[in-house]
Amino acid sequence: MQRQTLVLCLIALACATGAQASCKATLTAFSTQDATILTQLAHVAEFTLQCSNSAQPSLFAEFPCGKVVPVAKVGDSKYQVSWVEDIKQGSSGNVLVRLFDEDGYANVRKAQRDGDKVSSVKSLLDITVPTKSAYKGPWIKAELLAAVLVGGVAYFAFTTKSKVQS
Amino acid sequence: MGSGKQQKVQSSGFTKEEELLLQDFSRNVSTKSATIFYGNAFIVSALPIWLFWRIHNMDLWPSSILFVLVTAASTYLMATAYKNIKFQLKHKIAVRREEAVTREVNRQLGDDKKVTRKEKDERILWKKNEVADYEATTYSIFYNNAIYLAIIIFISFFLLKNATPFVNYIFSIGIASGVLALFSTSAQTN
Repeated sequence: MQRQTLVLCLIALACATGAQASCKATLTAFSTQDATILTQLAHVAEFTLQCSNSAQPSLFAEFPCGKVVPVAKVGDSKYQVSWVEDIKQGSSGNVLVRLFDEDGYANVRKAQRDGDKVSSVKSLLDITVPTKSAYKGPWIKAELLAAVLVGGVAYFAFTTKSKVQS
Repeated sequence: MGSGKQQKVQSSGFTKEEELLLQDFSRNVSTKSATIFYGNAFIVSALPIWLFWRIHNMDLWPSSILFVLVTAASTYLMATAYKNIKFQLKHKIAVRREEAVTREVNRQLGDDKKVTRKEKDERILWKKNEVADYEATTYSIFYNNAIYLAIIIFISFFLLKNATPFVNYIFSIGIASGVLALFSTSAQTN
C-alpha cells in the first residue's frame, strides 16, 4: 500500500513539473516611433505561447522594475503585454520580461508578502522584448539655430561698424 | 570735367568742389539712394509676415490690415535708420579710401597734360565721394538688416514666445525697427 502511494505521488510530481517545463514563445514587438508630440512612450509585445501540454494558462508579467501586471490574452495561444514609460527615461534595448502562471503568481505574491526577493521565484518563461528608441525631434531647435546664425552675422556687422568708425 | 575755371553753380552759389565737399558731409540722400533704402526697408519689413503667418500661425487675411500698417511703419523707421547710419559712415569711409582713390585716379590720368591739377583734385574728390557713398549705402543696409532680423528672432521666439501672435508681431517688429531708428540717431563721440 505504501509503495503504491509513493508511486502515485511520484507520477503526480512528474506531471506537475512537466506542465511548467516546456513552454516557448515567439514574439513580435512594437515601440512608439515618433515622440515629438507625446508625453509617454509605449512598448507592446505580442507573443504566441506553445506549451507541450497545449495548456493556455493565464499569465502575469514581471518587469525589471519589479512591477507585476496581468498579460492580456488576445487570441488562441496569443498574448499581449504592454507598458509605458516617460520620454525622458525612455531607452532602447532588450527588456527581460518574466512570465508566471497562476501558481507562479501566487508564489510571487507570497514572496512579496514575506519580503523575499521576487527574482528567487521560478518563472514559467522568460521573454526578451526588443525595444526601440523614439524620435524626439531635432537636436537643435530651428529657432535657436536661426538665432545663433543671425546673432553671429549681427555681431560681425556691429564690430565692423565699430572698426570703420574708430 | 570743366575747363578748370571756378565754376559757380547758379542755384546754390557754390563751386563744384564745394558742392562735392558738401555732399560728402550732407545728411541728404539722392533719389537713387532713397529708392534703394525704401525698397530694402520694405522687403526686410515685409519678410516677418511670412514668419508670423507660417511659423506663428497668424491668419493672413484677417491680419492683413495689421500687417500693412506695421510694415509701413517699420519701412519708414528702417529707411530712417539706413539714412542715419549711412551719414555716420560715409565720411569715415571717405577718409579711409582717400589714399587708394587718389592713387587710382592718378594712375588712370597718368601723364595727361590736358588735365589740370584743379581738375584732377575735383575728379579725386568726386570719385572718393562716389566710392564712399556706395560703400556706406551697402554697409548701412547690411548692418541694419542684420541687427533688425536678430532682434526680431530674439524677441519673437524667446522673449515673447508665450504671447499671442498678434502681440508678438506688433512688439517684435515695433521694437526692432524703433530701436534701430533710435540708436541710428546717436552721435559718435570719437
